[in-house]
Order: sequence, then C-alpha cells, then structure tokens
Amino acid sequence: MTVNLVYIVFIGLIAVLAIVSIYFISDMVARRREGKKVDALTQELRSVFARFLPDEGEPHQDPEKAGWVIRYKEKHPHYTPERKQPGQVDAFFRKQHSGADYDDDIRQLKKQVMTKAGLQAFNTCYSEYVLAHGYTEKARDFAGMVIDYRVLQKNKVVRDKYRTSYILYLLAEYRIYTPEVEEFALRSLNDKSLYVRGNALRVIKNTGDIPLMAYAFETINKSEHYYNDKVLIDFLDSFAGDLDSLDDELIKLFDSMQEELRVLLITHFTNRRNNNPVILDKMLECMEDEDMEVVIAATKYFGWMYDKRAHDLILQNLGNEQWEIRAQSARVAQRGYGSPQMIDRLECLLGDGNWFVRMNSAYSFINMVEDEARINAVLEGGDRYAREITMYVMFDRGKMDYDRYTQMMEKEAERSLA
Amino acid sequence: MLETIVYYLNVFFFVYMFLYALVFFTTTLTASLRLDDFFVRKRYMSYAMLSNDRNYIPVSILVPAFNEEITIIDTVESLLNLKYTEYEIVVINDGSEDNTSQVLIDRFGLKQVARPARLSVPCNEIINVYENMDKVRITLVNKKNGGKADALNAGINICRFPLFACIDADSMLQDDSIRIVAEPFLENDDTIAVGGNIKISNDVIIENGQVVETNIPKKPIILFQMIEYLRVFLASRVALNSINGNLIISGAFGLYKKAAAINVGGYTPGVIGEDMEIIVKMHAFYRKNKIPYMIYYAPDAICWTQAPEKLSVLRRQRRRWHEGMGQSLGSHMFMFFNPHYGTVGTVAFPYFVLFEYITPILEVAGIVTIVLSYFLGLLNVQFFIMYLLIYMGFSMIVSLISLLLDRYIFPTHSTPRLTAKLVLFAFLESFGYRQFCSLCRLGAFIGFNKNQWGKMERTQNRKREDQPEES
Repeated sequence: MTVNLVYIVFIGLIAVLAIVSIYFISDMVARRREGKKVDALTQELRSVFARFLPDEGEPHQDPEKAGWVIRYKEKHPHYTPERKQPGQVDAFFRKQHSGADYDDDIRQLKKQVMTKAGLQAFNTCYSEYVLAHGYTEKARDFAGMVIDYRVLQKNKVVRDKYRTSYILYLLAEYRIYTPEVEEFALRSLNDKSLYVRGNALRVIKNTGDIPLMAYAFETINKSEHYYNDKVLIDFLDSFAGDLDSLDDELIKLFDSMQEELRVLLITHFTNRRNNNPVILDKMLECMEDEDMEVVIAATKYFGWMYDKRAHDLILQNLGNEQWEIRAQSARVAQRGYGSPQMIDRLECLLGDGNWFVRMNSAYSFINMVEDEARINAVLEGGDRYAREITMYVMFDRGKMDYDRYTQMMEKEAERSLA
Repeated sequence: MLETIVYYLNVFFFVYMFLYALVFFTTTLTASLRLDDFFVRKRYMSYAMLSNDRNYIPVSILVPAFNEEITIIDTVESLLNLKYTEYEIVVINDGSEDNTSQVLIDRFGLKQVARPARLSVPCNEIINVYENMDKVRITLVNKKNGGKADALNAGINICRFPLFACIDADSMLQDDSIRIVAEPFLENDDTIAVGGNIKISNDVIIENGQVVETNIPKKPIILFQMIEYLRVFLASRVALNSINGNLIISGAFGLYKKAAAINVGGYTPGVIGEDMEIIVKMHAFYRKNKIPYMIYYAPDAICWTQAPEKLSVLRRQRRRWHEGMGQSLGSHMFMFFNPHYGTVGTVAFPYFVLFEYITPILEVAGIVTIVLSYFLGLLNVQFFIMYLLIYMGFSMIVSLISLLLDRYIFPTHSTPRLTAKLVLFAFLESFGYRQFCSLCRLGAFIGFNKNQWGKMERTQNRKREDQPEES
C-alpha cells in the first residue's frame, strides 16, 4: 500500500513537472510566433511612421519645448501647462502627411495599438525613431494622437501584476500628459510597488511641468514608501523642463522638507552647480543647521560654489564636535577659503584624533601653505600623527618622491621604537 | 540482527529518497514560477532603473589572484569593458609565485603609491600598492600569502567605494552584470549582498563583455558540469531566494555592501569556502540582531567562468567546495532548526545540512546497503529497479526543466544542437557522473585540505582565432 502510494506520488510529481515543461515549451513557441507577427507589423508600421514623421536628416530640434519654457517663465507663478488641442495636432499631421489615405492610416494605427502585438510593433518603431532623432515634439504629438491612456489601460500586453508599471513606462516614453495621466502618476507615487513608483517618477519628470514636479516632491515628502536617494537625485537631474526654474520652485519648498529630502535637494543643487542667490542664502543657513547631514551637504555645496560669506562658517565648523563636520570643512577649506586663521586652524587639526580630519586638513594645509619652512616645522615637530599625515599627503601630491617618503617613514618607525 | 538493521536502513533510504525528491520538486516548481515571473518583468521592464548612469552607486571590483599570470590580463581587460559609470578594479595579489604582479604593472602602466589602508577587517601585511590614474582606476595590492579570504579582506580594506564586487581571476563578467547586481541596492536599502549567475565559459567566445559565439563542448565533463550549474543557479538558488534563504553567493561573482561585510568581520581567514562562510555569517548576524536585511540573487547577472576539464581537477574542486560547506555549516550549527533565525534557521539551513551536505555519505551508504540487502536476500529486485528508474526519471526531469529555463531566459546563450546534447547528457549523468561527484565530495569528510587556494589549471579564455574550424 505504502509502496503504491509512493509510486503514485512520484508519478504525480513527474506529471506536474512535465506540465511545467510543457508550459515553458508552449510559451517559447507562442513567443516565437508572436515575435514573427510583431516583426511583420513593425515592417508595416515603419512605412506609416515614415509618412507621418519623415526623416529630415539632422536630428530634430525642439523649438516647441524652448517656446514652452519661455511661456512658462512669462506666466510664472500662476502657470498652467499649455497643451496642444487634438484638433491642432491633427491639422499639423494632415498637412505633413504626403499620402491621401491619412484618415485610413490613423484609423488603422489606432486599431493596431489596441492589440498586444500592435502595441509592441508601435513601440519598436517609436523607439527606433527616438534613437535616430531624439525625443521630438512631433513624435510626442504623433504618439499622443494614436495612443491614449485608456487604450493602454485596456491593452493586456503584460500580466496584471506589472501592467500599471508598464503603462506608466509607456506613458513616460510617449510623453503623453493629460490631466488624467498626471493624476494617475501622482496617485502611483503611493503605490506599494517600487516599479510603479519608479515609473510614476519617470512620467512626472518627462512632463517638464514644474508645478507637477513640486507637487510630486511634496507627495514624496509625506509618503511612507521607500524612495532611494539615487533614484530621487536622478528624478531631479533628468527633469525634461527648465532645471533653473525647477530649482527656484524647489528652494521654496526646502524648509518644509524632511532632513533626508533637504540633504537630497542640497546634493541636487551641488550637482547642478546652481549659485542662484536665493539658494546661496539658504545654503548659508544650512551651514548652521542642527542636522549633521544637512551641514555636511551644505559644506560640500560651498566646496563647489565659492562664496566668501561661507569662510567664517567653515572656520567655525572646523571646531565642531562632530568629526564628520570637521572632516568635510577641512576638505573644502582649500577651495578658495584660504586665510591666515584658516591655515592656523588646519595646522592644529593635523593632530586631530580622527584620521579623516587629519588627512583632509593636511591636503588643504599643503595646498594653501607656500612657506616651506612652515611645512618643515610640522615634519620636524613633536606630533607624530601630524608628521605622518603631512608626509603622506606631500607624497600623494607629488611634493615628495617615493624614496624620500619611505626613508622618512622608516625614520619615523625608528623614532617611535626609540 | 544484521537483517533487522539492513531492513530498517532500507526503509530509511526509501523515505530519504522520497523526501529528497519532494524537496527538489518543491525547489524546481518554486524556481520555475519565480523565473517565469522574473522573465516577464525583465521582458517588459528591462529598462535601466536610472536615466542617468552617473547616478548608480560606485562599485569596487575585487579580484583576488594567486598565480594567475595566464588569465589576469584578460580578466582585467574584460572588466574595463563593463557598462558602468563609476567603478575601480582592485587586484589583490596574494603572494603569487609567478609573474601575476609584473604582468599587470607592465600591461597597465601601474605606479607604486603609498596608499594607506584602514584595517577594518583583519588581513596579512600589505607589501605595496600600485595604481594607475586612468578613468577606471586599477589598483594592484601585493600582500603576503594568506589565502583567498585574507586577500579579499585586504581588498575590503583598500577599496574606496561603498559596494564591492568580488570576482574570480579566471572569470569574465557580461558587460551589464554590475549594473544588474547594483539595482537591488537601489530597490531596497536593506539589501546587503547580491549574487550573480555563474555560467561555464570553456567553449564560449566572449568579446567586450558579450557572448559572440557558443560552441558545443567536446568533453563530456564540461557538459555534465553545465547541467549541474544550470540546476544550481536556475533552480535551488532561485527557490531559496524567494525566502531570503540563500546561504551562498558564489565566490566567482557577488556584490556586497562594504559596511555589512565589515559588520560581520569580513571574510574568515583560513576557511576554505569563504564565499559561503561570509553569507552564513551575515544571515546569523542580521537575524540575531533583528536588523532587516536582504540577500538577493540576480539570475540575469552573468559571470562566465572556466570549469575543470580534467577529472583530477574536478575531484579537487568538489572536495574543496564540500569542505568549505562543512566548515560554514559546522561553525553555525546553532541555526539548525532554530526558529529564532526565521526561514534561514528552519528551512534553508536544514536544507543545506540534510540535502546537500550529508547526501554523499548517504548515497555511498545506500549503495553499500543495497549490496548487503541483495546478499541477505532482503532486496526486492523488481521493486528496487522500478523505484530506481522512477527516481532517475524524476532527477532527469528536474535537469531538463533547468535546461528549459535556461533556453527560456537566455535564448541566445545556447544553440538547439547544444540543448539537444545537454538533454542527452542530463540522461547520462545518472550513470557514473553523479556517483563520481558523490565520491569526490565524500573525500571532504576524510580530512580537511590545508591549501586555501584551489589548484585549477588555467588556460586563456577562448578568442575567435582559437575557434576550431568545424564549429
């Protein structure tokens, strides 16, 4: 009885695994067939694309976008995004379209993208166009004319679990922004799926819409979901609109942000080397913030953006009880903040208890001091830590050759043994 | 008396084989479902997570090397072709007796520097450090011999970035591999380690980090190993990944959070299976201290590595691997069926002990019992043959599913002819190869090997001009 039961179970297991195998094999076959169908449709669509978006040789410039930015600047702060009306787009393409079968083409395209294979083929042609010409206003309008949010929602191109994410991805790629899409993207920022949230960010940044970005940032600030710092930096860095205007808007939100997002914004301003006076003033305030990470980020900012008002704050922070702040301040001191007081303070820090503080101080010290006698005084002084780090930095900066450095280190070792 | 013992042994083996089959059924089925889902995700969402490559987390790639003068240049050159914006390559020469150090200095124009190392984890004395100042910085660390774990610790001490990848000196990464293993760190802050998928490169031609040609291996030993690798990397690792229970990230390719490695004291010097040891230590540390963590396996992050082409080398390799597994499991036996360690203590660890580690002993003991039973007249030959055939059929189906999964996910990595040949060898491996491997692994129980670097005969990776005319 037991033996028979075991046989039956074994056979059952084998049967289940066989079913799994059959599933994979049939899926591979189906995929191959679908691939052929998509290839054929792509071939057809390429010619339709060529009629609507003829190859104009040079990569297409985007005058509309520049115009859009100008319009934004004129209308700021009561800005509302101007979208082309469907009728305008239609009229534009009707004029461009060389064939007489314009209506048929559009009807056919709309019908095709309703299917899984048709959408894939359209996506392939669109990607090819973007690869060759970059994102153009024309391509965006064309995609918007053929595909809309509802069409994508109905398409079963991918299983339900990933549909929302994929739809957002396509909306971002096609640059389709209707109020409905924007609402959908903002709502998705609080979705539990990381991929959905990531693609919602993609849609929002591609709109080039500053108030929408600001609203999204406020949503993220309140959200309990995880957003990686690098992803958010990327979200800001690759904004499709005018980055200066975005920064103007973001600095207004700065004080209402959590510490992590404030650090992130400072990093973004640093990456952009944005020295707008309003931002500079805010960064000066941050140098005295209670949060260590904010102070460090602001100090890094002044490492790239020189402002003489930062000098005293850096000097003050060289005496901070947190070694991380001392180390960062010592590091940026050499970026134009040299002064007799700064050099004196750095010289003291060559003997600091923390290795990073000593090393950063030594780099700045060696960089600022031209008087060799003063450096030699450190090298021959009574503080072993100061001597060692100065030797190392001089070697690293090419002010001491390898042989002399090793000789001095050996002497140092003998001295410590004695 | 003897008859009673043999009878109960027969019952034990009968039950054990049945449980073994059930476990592999579960892992294979789980892996299939997971990989199917993974494949859909990869197919429809295989775009880069960040728009700007500069925003990826910088990575230090550690390459521990011992007598690797033949392959080290190829390895470093392949690493220079990675599609990743910010990374450094740190080669740790663990007291090689050949010209490993000199070939690197000559080829990449390295200059001696006096770079200080912060000794966050223990390692033998660093003799000197060489570097270049190119966009991708190459650092060569010459140190006193101390074994692979010690070399990796030296790398951890000297590397600059928050994530470090370690790869074997005879391995080559596919150009997008680092990006793929870095993404789980962006997806989840709790990620502390990510392992890649190891594939056999003996008959594959790789140029600039991409497979340009797949040839059919002529040596059966390679084909058998290919099937084994597929079974491990596309079945059990994927299944264990679903419960955050992978106890091993192959030493050939893995990416780690440096802070997490330092938290557990780095690699344990002197152990043989340093790759498994550090992961088991991480599980133990994070679970014990109730710190959320994730150890992830990325099946699409490919690392190509050379497999032994001689039985003697294979024997040594398997014995080493099994010894390493024994050391890691032995030093963490407190996790065995311990619910405080969650799924690792209750599922993954027992799985490794009962269905990986002691299996060779049971396999050999099983054969002895069968022979004894036969002579004692206790063996129902008809039942035995039937049971064996069903069991072998089952094992073959498990192998075939791994092959199918490979074709499903990586259609370009094999040809229909190679797949057909692998199907044949999936059938043949039950007749000799598996038993041979069990015997090799059994050697691990006899005595521990003192050599901390595996002796592997190195050959240069194949290039187009090496290709045989007929293939």
